[in-house]
Amino acid sequence: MSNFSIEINNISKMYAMYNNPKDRFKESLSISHKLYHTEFWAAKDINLNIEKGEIVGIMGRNGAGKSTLLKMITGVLTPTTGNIVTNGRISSLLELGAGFNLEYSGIDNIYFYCTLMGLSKKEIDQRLDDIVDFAEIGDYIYQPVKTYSSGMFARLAFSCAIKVDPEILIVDEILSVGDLRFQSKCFKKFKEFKRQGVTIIYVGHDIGTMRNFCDRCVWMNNGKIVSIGDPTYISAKFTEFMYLEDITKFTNYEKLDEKAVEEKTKDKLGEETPDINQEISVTTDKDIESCFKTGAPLSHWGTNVGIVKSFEILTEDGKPLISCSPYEKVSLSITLDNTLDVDFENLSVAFSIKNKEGTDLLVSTTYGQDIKFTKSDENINVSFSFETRLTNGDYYLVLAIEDRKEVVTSYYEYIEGATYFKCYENKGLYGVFLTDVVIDIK
Amino acid sequence: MIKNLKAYFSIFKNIYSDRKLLLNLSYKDFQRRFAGSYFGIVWGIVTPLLTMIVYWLVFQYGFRSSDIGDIPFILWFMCGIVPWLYISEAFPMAANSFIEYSYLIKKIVFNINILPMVKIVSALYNHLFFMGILAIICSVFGYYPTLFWLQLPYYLFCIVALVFAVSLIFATLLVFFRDLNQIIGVLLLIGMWGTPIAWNITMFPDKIQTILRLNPIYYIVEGYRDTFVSDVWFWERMPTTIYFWAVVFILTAIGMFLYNRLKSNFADVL
Repeated sequence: MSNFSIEINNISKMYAMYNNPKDRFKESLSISHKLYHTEFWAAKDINLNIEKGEIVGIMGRNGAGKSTLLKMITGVLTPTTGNIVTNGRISSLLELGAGFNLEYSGIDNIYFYCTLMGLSKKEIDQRLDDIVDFAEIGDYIYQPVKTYSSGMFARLAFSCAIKVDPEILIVDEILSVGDLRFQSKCFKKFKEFKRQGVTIIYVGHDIGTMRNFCDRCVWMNNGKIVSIGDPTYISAKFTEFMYLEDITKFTNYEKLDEKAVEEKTKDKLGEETPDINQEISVTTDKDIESCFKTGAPLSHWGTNVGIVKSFEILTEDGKPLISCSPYEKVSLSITLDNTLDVDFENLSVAFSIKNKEGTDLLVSTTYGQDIKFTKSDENINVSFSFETRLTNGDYYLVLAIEDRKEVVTSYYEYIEGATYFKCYENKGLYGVFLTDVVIDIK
Repeated sequence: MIKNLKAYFSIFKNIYSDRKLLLNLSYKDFQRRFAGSYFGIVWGIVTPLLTMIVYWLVFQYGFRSSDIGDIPFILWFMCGIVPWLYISEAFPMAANSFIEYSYLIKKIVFNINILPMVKIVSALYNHLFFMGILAIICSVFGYYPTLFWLQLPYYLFCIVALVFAVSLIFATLLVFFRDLNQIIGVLLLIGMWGTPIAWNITMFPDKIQTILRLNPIYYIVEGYRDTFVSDVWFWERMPTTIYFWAVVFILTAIGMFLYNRLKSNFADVL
């Protein structure tokens, strides 16, 4: 038996789209076999093997084919071509309240759902308290679920899904409606599952969660896998894509001109980007580790790449930063190209220091500081100086030149992984930050 | 080929292997049909009871149609209307089962082929109740239980097999053509008046009788009468029995063919 918990072999899913319900009927009766539908490939040539105990994150914009893929893995949709082999009981949370009957009470729905999942009455009785406890929705459990808020719905659905002893758990972005407390509880549960060897597939839009918690990430676009690999790297590339691609245009099924979209993406993203045209299902070997070694940026993009003419980050003794003590003064200086035609009024310069998981540890920005840039003849130089105050470890620098005019920040230039460095201190250090703590014993 | 055939008959295998789930779902379904109304399950009994009384009054005192011998008309009529009410309740429900449970089909993986059967069993609770009433009324009129009543389970099986076969065809097609619901309405109307429920088949000339006997429901209605009042064993009417099962067999084959061909598209169109 193979080690894979899910093997996806070259699957595609085609939907026949009719402009008019009558067309479906006309087509099935047509003597001349005239076709009335247009084809829409919601998923195309997908290959993916997922090992037992792996947590795989899937990201992509709306309509990218994520849910279609999950539904095919679960088995509710049949792929048009290709096949999927799964080993183990699958429990899936495809949508809010999937499989719940709105008229039943919470308790009834627990029985209903678990019965459908193949549990006997006795097994459900044993789990009932557990499920109710985990959901934490109090006496609402006795009310019909149609009276539930979406958060309560998610709580109940999630509790049911995890208590049926799944070997494969599929979660489609429903956790976002839960409150913080419940979300953290869920992620704790995921980690516990991982130790038990449960395979988890998670779809989400929260980059931070993806980086923290997934072993691998899959980026999908237009029904295809763009790339698979290290979460930090893939999510950096995905963020880049989301900010640059004209995503207001939703997937157009009548004329799915993949080439045009792909070429456009390619042009804008530059050479660093994984080529959307390349063979599907290529696992990128580029990851955060190799970036640390080579010093190449994880991602480098923006609407006006080049606005950062140069930057340097120096230690106290004027050498480029490679490693430093937490208490050492570090200075970062960024020189901006003033000749570019950008809105200097609303421009802000920001930097951030992140750890390997991609968490922002130290962020500073000129935004909100009453600093106004003006277009001048000379280059603009911005410098920051600071002590990192970080414990031993690997860190990287992110530079962002932002346009703050709109509510949603857009980026002139964004360099994730401008520099990689280590913090080092002889003393045994704990935690993440080193602020001055006065210890007083009386 | 053998593997294909096995997959083909999985619908029967699943009805057996998932029988607990099936019973559970059908019981839930039965409860749910009356949930939300104040008198709940009472309606499940009152409505068909009233229907029955109205029909009976009309035929007892209104259109007294044909001679039925010395059997009390109410018994003769009830033996026809009780199985018919079951068919007219179970068939439309089972035919719409895939649509009604689309929220499960699209989201949860389980053997969806049990769904029509869930509805058929769910309607059976009412039917059993009315069989009880029928038995009581029979006793009131002096027709006490005889050995012939032992063949009730057989006719019950016949009725379930027939409804299942027809429902499977309609349930599958309905997923794609919802307009079929209109046709179901018409079929039920034809069934109600085209089956000798309220009138005796002997009132027609032989030729027309032969045509009317082609209706498989006729076999069931006559079967109920044979059981409760006429005292005839089902093997005593062999030609009709063979004919009935041949029809059921063909309908089941058509239903299974359609279902197996189209089931993979269900989630796409539901």
